[in-house]
This record gives sequence, C-alpha cells and structure tokens, in this order.
Amino acid sequence: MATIPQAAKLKRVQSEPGLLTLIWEKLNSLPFVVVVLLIVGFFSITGTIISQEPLLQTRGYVTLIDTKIFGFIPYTVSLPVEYVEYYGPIKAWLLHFLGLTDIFHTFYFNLLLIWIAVSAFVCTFKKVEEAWEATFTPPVDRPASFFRVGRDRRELELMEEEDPVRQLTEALRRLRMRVRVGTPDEEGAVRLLAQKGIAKRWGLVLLHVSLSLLVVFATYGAIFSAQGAVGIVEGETEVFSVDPYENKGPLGRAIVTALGARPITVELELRRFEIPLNFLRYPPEWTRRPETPEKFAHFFSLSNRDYKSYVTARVAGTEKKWVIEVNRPLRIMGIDIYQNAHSSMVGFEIFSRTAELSRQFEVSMGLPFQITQDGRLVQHIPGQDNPQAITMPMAFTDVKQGAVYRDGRVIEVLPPTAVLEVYDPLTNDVVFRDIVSSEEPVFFTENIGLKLTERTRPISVFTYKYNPGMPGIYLASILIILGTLFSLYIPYYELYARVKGKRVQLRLVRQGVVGNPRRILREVEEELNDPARRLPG
Amino acid sequence: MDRIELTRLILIGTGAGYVLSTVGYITYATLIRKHLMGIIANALLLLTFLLHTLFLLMRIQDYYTQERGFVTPAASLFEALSYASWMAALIYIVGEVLIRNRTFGAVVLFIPTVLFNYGLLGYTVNKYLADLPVRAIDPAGIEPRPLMPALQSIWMTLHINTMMISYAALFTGGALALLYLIKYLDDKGISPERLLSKWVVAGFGVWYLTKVYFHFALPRYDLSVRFKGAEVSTPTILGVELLLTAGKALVGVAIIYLVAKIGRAISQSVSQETIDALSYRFIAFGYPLLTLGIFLGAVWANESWGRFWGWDPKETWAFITWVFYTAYLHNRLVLGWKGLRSGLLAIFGVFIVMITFVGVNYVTAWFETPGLHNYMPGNF
Repeated sequence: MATIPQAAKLKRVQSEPGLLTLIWEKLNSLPFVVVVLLIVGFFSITGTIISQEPLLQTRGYVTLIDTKIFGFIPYTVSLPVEYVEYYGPIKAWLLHFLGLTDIFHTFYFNLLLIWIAVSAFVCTFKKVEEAWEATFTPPVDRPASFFRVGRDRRELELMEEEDPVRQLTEALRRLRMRVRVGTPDEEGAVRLLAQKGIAKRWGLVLLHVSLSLLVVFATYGAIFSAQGAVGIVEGETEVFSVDPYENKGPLGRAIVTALGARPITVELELRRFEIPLNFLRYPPEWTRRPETPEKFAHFFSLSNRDYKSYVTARVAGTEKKWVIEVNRPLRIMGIDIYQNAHSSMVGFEIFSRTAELSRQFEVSMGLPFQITQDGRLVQHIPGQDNPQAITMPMAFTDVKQGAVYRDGRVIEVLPPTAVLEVYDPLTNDVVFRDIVSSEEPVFFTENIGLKLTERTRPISVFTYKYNPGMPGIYLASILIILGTLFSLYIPYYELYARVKGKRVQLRLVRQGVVGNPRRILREVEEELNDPARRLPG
Repeated sequence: MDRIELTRLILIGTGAGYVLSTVGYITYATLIRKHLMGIIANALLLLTFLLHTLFLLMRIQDYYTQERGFVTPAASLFEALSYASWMAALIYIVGEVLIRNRTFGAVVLFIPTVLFNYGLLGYTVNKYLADLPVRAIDPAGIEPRPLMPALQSIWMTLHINTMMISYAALFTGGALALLYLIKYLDDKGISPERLLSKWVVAGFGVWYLTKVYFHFALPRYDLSVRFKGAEVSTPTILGVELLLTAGKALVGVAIIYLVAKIGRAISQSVSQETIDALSYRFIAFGYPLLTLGIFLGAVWANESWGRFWGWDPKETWAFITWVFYTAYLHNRLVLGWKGLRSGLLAIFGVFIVMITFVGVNYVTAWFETPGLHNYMPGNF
C-alpha cells in the first residue's frame, strides 16, 4: 500500500476549511440561502395549517400532568384546550414540544430568518466590492476575442484618422456615459469602457443593506418594546406604566436592564364612549350568532368595532385629546394606543315589591356572580357552589344602551338593557335567560326582583404599544422597495470598445429588466455618424 | 329594473363577455388568423372590459354613498376576484398595445375569465342551484353590503390596488411561462399535452385520496355534507366524489389540450426567447409591487390591529410568495437561470399566488386556523 508523504498529509490537513470559513462560505452561497428560504417557506406553510397559539382565542388551558409520552417520558404541560380536543393529548404535546404550535417564535425559525439577514449582510460586502469596482476601477481591457462574440456588437470605421480615441470618447460622453480609457493590447489597439446607469449597482447594495437593517430594527424593537391592555370605565382615568422590562425572557430583561431602559407613565382618561346601536346597518348574520332567538335579536352581537372612545392622554407633561376608533389609534410620545374591545360595568338593584329590600350593586359584564347572605356580591367560580350565597350564579352577558339608529336617524333611546343568564351552580348550564332593563325587571320570586339602574357605565378596553424600532422598520422597508426598483429598473450598460486606427469594435453588455441595447448602439452610431460610416456586413 | 337587477345583468354580461372574448382570441390564434377576426376579438374584450368597469364604478358609487368616501370595490371574496380579473384584463390590454401581438390573449385571458366566472359561479350555484349537491363560494359580495369598519381606510385602497396589480402581473408571467414550456417540450419532441395531462390526473388522484382520508380520519370533513342530510351509503359517497373529481380532471386535461394547441399556434410567430423574456418582465414588474403591497398592508395592520406583522395565515402566505419570487429573481439574475427552469418556477408561482389570494381562506377553513383576512363576515 502506498504511503502518503508527511508533507502532503500536512498540506491536506491545513487546506481543510475551519468552521468559521465554512460558515462564511455558506453565508456567501446563494444556493444555500435559497435552500434556507425554502425551509423557511416550509415552516411558514406549517404555521398556517396548525393553529398558532398567539392567534388562538382559547377557551382555556388544560394541564396534562404526569402522563407518559411513548409510555415512559413523563411530562407536565399546560396547553390550550383546542389542541387537546383536535389532536389528542399525545399529538398535541408533540406539536407543542416541537414548537409547531407557535412556530414563528421558535428559536430555529428565528435562527433561519437571522441566517437570511446575516447572509444578506455578508452578501452586501460582495455587492459593495462589485459596485465599487464597477464605479471606480472597472476592468477596461478586454481581449480581441471578446469583441467577436455576443449579440449586441458593432464594427465601425471612422471617417477621420486624426485621434480616433478622442473622437469616440467625446461621442460617448455626449451620450452621458462615463468613459475610461485602458491600455493598448499586443496589436496596438486601444481599449475603452463606457458605462451608463451605475446607480443600478448601488441599488443592489441598498437592497441588501436595507434587508439587514430591517432585521436590526425589528430586533431592536423587540428588545425595547412594551405592550399591554387597559380597560377604562367612562368618566374615569387610569394611570399605567409602559415598561420594556415586562413580558421579556431573561436575556431580554438583562439587556433592557443593562441599557437602562425606563418605564413610561401614561395617564389616560376616557371622557366619553359612544357606540351607535345601528342594528340595521349590518346584515343580521354579522351581528348575531346563528343560534340567537329573535327575542334577543339585538344582543349576543359579535365584536362590533364601530365605536368611538373620546380620550385625553398625558405622558411626560404632554397632553393630547383624541377620538380613538378603528384605524385611528392615538399616538403620543412614541406610544400607540388602539381600541381593542368594549364592555360595561352593570349597575343593578335587587328589590322587593314591598320595598323592604332595595340594594344596589355594580358588576362587570360577563362576570358570573352571586349575592351572599350578608349582602355582598362575590364572584362565582364554575363548579363551586358557595354555601353563603342566597342567589343562583348569574351574569349579564350583553348590555346595550343609548341611541338606536335607522337610516342614520335616531329612532329611540334605549335605557340600560342587558341579557341576564342564571346558571346551575355545579354544571354551569344556563337555567334561565331573559332581557332585563331599568324599566323591565326580572322576578325570581313573587316578591324579589332584579332591575338595572342608570349607573350602567361602558368600559373601553385599549391596547397600548411602544416600539422604538418602528420608524427604522418603516425606513428599511421603503429602502428595500427603492433598492428593488433601482436594481431592476435602472438599466446598466457597459459598452466596451477596441480602437485600432480608424476601425472601432464595440460590444454592449446590459443588466436589468428594462433597456434596449440596440437603441444604445444605434445612438452611438448616430453620434459618430458624421465622422464615421458603418462597415458593410 | 332596480339597481340590483341591473348589477346582475351587467355581471352576467361581463362573465359571458370574458368567455366570448377568450374564444375570439383562441379563434384568432388557432383557426382564423385574419385581421378582421383580431379586430372582433379586440372589440369583444374592450366591450367586456367596459362593462366590467361599469360594474366597478357602480360599486364605487354604492360605497361612496354609504361611506362618504372612495372605497376600492374589493371588500368581499367575489369583489376581490372581480377586481383581480379586471386588473388582469387591464394589464393584458396594456401589454397587447405595447407588445403589438394579440395572439397572447388566447392564453393570458384565461386568467380574468376563470377568476371572474369562478366568483360568479358561486353566486349562481347558491342562488339558482341550491338544491344540487354542489358547494360553492360564499355569494356575499354580488349585492352591495355595508363595509366593515376595519376596511374603511385609505390604506385599504393603497394595499389592495398594489396587491391586485402585482397578482395580475405575476399571473400573466406564469401564463406566458406555460406557453414557453409548451414550445420547449414540442421542440424536444415531447408531447406537452400528454406530459401535463399525466400530472393533472395524478394531481387530482392525490386530491381524491386526500379527501377520502379526511372523510374517514376527520369527521368534520365528512363528504356526506354534499348530500345535505340525505341518507347515502359510504360507497355512493365515495363514488359520487370520484365522479366529480374525474370530471374536474377531465376538464383540466381538456384545458391542457386546448392551451397546448393555442400555444403551438402562438409560438409560430414568437420565439422562445421572446416568450421567456416577456414572462420574466411581467414577473419583474409584479415583484416590486408585491413588496410594496405587503409593506402597505403591514402599515395598515399597524394602524388597525396595532401590529406591523403578526404571522396571520394571509400574511404568512404573502411572505411565502415574496420569498418564492425573491428566489426566482435571484436564480434568474445571479445564477443565470433562464428558459425551462425559470419558466417552471414562474408556473409554480401562480399556484402560490392563488393560495395567497384565495386558497388561504380554504386552508384556514379546512384546518380551522384563526385568521383576520378571511373575506368573511364575523369579527367586524
């Protein structure tokens, strides 16, 4: 068996690329990036056929405790009930474990996105180098064989013998081309290069830089952003803190703390809340659930976003009055406040016909409650009967009040009116449902009844968001579009010329979607038309 | 005649007009290559386009009366299909003027014809053939409906118009790539009809088996819903489904034979390189608009929902489309992919755009994935 000489072995060992070189090569490799893009596409598709947790309005969570995966792996995990119902506990756990229930926030998906961004950034160096070379040190000297191939070429003979290079150079400059004169070749022919549309090359640089910038600003925004929700009763003011420290992982918190990001205090007053009861404006299937009986036609409506919140916001000494609506958030000191949902604080009275009893309460819409022997209102926890309670569990599931419109005109003013549901304390089944208002009470017994009071007040729920990366994200997105337009729609021409005596050989190279090389060649010919004549053939 | 009845008549006229003008272009490209025939085809298309424009203007007027402002008539699935087909027809008309070759219409006009009539079919089936075991798209949109508050935004106009132009350009690029493929296969001595028909039949076969699997594995995809409560045995259900699928496959094969015949006729007057370059130019026109449209949609989402990007299924598919066409352009510009490989990507791109545009509604419905872009009433 032949033995490899020691020097050769060493050489082979030394020539193997290291990990960093390999990563650099892969970052620079277009086919590899295309493969990464395909993998990103595959995971993205997966994310559209498996419900994603952040988009899911779950009914609740199920905790799977001490179950054995494949018979021996114990686990404890809390999953939205929908996954368990849909896939069963084992598949649901597996999907959750693999991150497929929130794929767009998994480390591997984000790693792939970061890879593409870094690759674009690395590619930027190559593009800068190419654009720099094309702008400042383009290769001018081409061999004679170069002018004998290609579709877009011409051969001309100048009329005047005197200084043909100058004649050609001036003609090309009159066509607004950048001209560089090279060196004579072995046959004594002078080589030239004329360029037009160099901005295209820098458009490619811009495109790659802005892709990287997008990721940088998105990451910056993710680190320093803060968001949350606040519900405000009409006429009241809430003070809350927009804190970048909240809702972050340990790394995010460490960065935020290290960089000293501080919470911003916001004071938000809900001066007025207005929701037009425009029942006839929308088709009934939009405004009620299919099972709704006619009696409750105006109730059980789906989430109507057609409402207005008149607010005053104060942040760091700045005050702003605004009407928050859909598509019309309030912007103050970098904080955006959006409408999210609306609810009510329902004022009601338990009374007796004989006027022995009259007690008023206030409760949030949708919250199940009971009244205790000592006259307190307590929250009902489904499945747990409260021995102190003197009433069945109940809740006001929908509340309407205010002006009712038809064809843009007010036809009546509805007093506070709600749907009252009464539940079985153990099974939570609805045992009674009716409409109750200040004018139409509901009676539980011959003597005891319940009616709404005028104290029913609307609640507007807002989401707030602070993302200092947004201006940068917008800027990078606009630059991406500009870079795409520059790189696709600015035609870039390189016109190579070889001048020997009166004879001129031209070859045009074009890059880009638009542009007409033949027109450029014709223009050159026309510019040289007086002193030149085209060679036959 | 009331306004709704007039709208219906205009829509039926438009649907029929697209079919007739496509037939006119096919006749011109394959049977009667006479100037007069070309003029007739042009006239049919222009008349249809004007009729379609009239419908859009009426719908704009409806929205203007209702909302006191301009609204792009693309607020429901039908309107979106109608608007996309109008945009595709417009792009074709402009393209024909620029290219000065009307034979392409025989293939490219399939796009507005299919998109528009698909929307119209849903309405017709629901309105007049409701008792037949045929499901169709939601007819909402044929008759003017109130606009959801979230759609009352200038960003909607900007976003939708940009996206529609880009979709129309990408569709056209794909259709031209199909022409290229036919010519390429012909030149290689391979029958494009046979090859593509095999793929279509195989595709429908996989589709049928998937449906059968879903029928047995997932009760909510029960195929018996087609029979609207009538008691039918399982073999009958599967048999009817097989017949329907086979029927669709047959239509697909017939279209392929027709397109191949048209493609062959067109390719007599246009070179492979020209078709390839045209396909590329349409895609390169659509790509920046796709990028801009996604950005405008993201700005709108930020205004309306309080987030720039939320990986909603529609957004995700828009991202997939963007990634796909980015790869297409990279392959073309940097790796020098031209001709066959580039053409195959362009054809595949049409499927991706179709999923982004319409299919994502079905994907989210089938897999019960939540989404905010569903052209559906509900969370308004």
